[in-house]
Amino acid sequence: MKNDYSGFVSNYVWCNMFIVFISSFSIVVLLLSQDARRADAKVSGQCGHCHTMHNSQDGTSVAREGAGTGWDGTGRITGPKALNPLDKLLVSNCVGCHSSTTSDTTITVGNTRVPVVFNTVEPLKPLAGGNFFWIANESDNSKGHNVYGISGSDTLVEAPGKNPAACSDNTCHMTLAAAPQFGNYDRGGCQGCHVFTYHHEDNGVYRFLKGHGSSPPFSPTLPDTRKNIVSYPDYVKGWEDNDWEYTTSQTDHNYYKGTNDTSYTSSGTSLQTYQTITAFCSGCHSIFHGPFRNSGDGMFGATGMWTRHPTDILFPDTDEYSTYDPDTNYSFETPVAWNITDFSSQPNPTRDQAVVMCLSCHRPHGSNQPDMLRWTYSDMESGTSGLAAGTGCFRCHSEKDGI
Amino acid sequence: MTCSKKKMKKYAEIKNSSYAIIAFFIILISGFIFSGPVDAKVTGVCVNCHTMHNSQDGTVMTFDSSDTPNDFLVRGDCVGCHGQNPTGTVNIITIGGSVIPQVMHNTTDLAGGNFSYITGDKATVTADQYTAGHNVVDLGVLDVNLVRPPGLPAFPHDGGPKNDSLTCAGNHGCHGERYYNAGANSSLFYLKGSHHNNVNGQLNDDISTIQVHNSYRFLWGVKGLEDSDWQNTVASNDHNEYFGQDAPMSIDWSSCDSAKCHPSTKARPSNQTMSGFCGTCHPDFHSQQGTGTGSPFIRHPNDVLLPDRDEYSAYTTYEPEAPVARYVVPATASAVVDTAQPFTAQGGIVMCLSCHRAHASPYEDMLRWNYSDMQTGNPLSAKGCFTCHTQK
Repeated sequence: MKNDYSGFVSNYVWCNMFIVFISSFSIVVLLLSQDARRADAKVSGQCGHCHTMHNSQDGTSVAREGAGTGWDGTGRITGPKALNPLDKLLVSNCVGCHSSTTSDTTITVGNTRVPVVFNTVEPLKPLAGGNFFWIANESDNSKGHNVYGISGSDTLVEAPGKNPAACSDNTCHMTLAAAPQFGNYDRGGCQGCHVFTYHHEDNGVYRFLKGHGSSPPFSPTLPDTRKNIVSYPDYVKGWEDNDWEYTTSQTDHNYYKGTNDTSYTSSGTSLQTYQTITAFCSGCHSIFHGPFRNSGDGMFGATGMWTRHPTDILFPDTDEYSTYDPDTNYSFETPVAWNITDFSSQPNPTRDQAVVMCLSCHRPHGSNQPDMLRWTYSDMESGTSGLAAGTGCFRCHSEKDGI
Repeated sequence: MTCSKKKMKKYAEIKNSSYAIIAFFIILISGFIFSGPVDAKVTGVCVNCHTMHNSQDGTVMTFDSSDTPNDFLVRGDCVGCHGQNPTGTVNIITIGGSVIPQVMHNTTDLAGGNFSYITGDKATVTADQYTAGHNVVDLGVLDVNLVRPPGLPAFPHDGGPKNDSLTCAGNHGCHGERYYNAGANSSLFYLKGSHHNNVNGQLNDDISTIQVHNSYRFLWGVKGLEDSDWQNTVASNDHNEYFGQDAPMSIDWSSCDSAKCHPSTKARPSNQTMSGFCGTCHPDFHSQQGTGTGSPFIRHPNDVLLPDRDEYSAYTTYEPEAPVARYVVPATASAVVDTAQPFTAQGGIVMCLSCHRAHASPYEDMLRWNYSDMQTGNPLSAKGCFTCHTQK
């Protein structure tokens, strides 16, 4: 009599197929969760980490703000008590929540991880945007943006490379050192750049960098309708690294949007049109970017030669520039943007899409270098074969050093 | 090990050490003997010459304090960098590690002369501001005597260089690539990349391979030996060496012998000599058709061998006041001028710069000496012409 194993075999096959399917699914899920660019950025964790319902706990006020406010090493915000409860029931303001009295640049409270951009002691691992430590603690005003609540006013009375097209009756495009007030639509300080915040949304606004809409609101405050990115798409696109480049690898870093559109204009709509990090910087430093507007403005001379270091242009892959391939050998010291429309549909940019941007050279918050540079400019010595060879400027201008 | 083996081993060690020492010195000496072109790329920190945004601490970075930035992000244009202080007493400016020869100042002239004679920042002897030198428009002194280059029979092609279009470099200039009808780019455009790839010392590349950066003083196509301090210090054995030929270029102006001047649209002398270069704008003065090919010449010859006879053979020591070119570009400057060996690096060839300064001089017609002092038969006369014409 022949044994009938068909049922057993069938079950065995199905069982194995199920295991393979589950394993494969798990691997896919694991891989997706490991892609540092694709993690949800909206805040998670207990409400009490960031909010206080009544600014009262055990008989004492909770909110902290003012000089020295920041996360300590025990997961608590310390600093002077706020005189009044803070907007949106927060335990501190922008500066307080993103500062630390330690040298660490990420703070983990429960399952909430907070990026730190201002350490009161020298940070061990500044995040991608840099750190305000140096501008706050050194007398050199060029080591960062002078932001209200962090440092005093710059000796400069207006942003270098100012935006001549911006309103002249307020401080929005002139300084970040002014307190929130009528003259800047209550967006002084951090919110001069991070105009609207979306902590509880994943809406695609890169690091909350959004403009106020294509035209000034002409109102004492910015109406919330301007926060709508569908109606007002003047925001920066990119892939946000999930730990703000606390850890980095060739695939573990920010991805910035760039453009090579030569019609980049001075109409005031470039941010909305191109949604690039460079267009955002241009909001306050537009003379440094974009086209010839008035005599002496922009990146081009009358004959079309570069007169200022270009940005939002394709990073050439010819001559000396061919040495640096950011697609295969991305430099965190000299990052590039990418000329793509949508990172979600184009997750793997290629060499021919690399774009020079402001942040290729600068840290937006601040650095330990003058002019917020990413490297020591005085080490950039043409013809050098020393330690600076192949770094900084020479990463792109590879034939200008001595190697 | 036996005693003799130890001796053998010791001997071998000594022998090997000796070879190493000898090899070291051979390599060292070879470096001197066979020294060729010297990599002289511009050095120093970027900020010495460039400004990324023409902005620093709220002020501009251009050398002339202009709000308008310059092409290629440089802090000055040609004159801005090489004529930084027309009334100053520094002829070589050092900024950080960058050494910048000055062509406009009020002290010792460098080899090419001094544009301050044109601008009036340095006193002339016999020249006025129109006869002292090349009035490049960058200086702001329009030549009222001449509209087109003397020795240029007619305006070529796109109009050629004129008194209102002569520039330091480019289409209607001397340095860099000189395109035909290339449009209104700045001088800097035509020098792009030259400073960062500069080669100096002995520049001897063939016409088919030579580029601006390895041409003599960025004069595209010209061969020569560049003195390391532009003749700030000068002596019979410390000077530039110029390349010459034994016959001037043939430039048939009537049929526009363009192959001589600007094949592939860019002008350069096909014979690679300094005189040939001058001839691209002054062909009547520096071509076979303009001077004749032998005695009697109808204009003062150049690119001709300094004759090994009569009064000329008395020119035996290189005279920086009346320099000669060489048939072979030497590796080092030589004090010897041997008319008996014309086809060597120690021969002598008459050239334009034997008499003229390229930029400007205190004397009329950019001459190297006061022409009115050249009095025949007067033994007290200055050397000048008589450096070669020793019996006059």
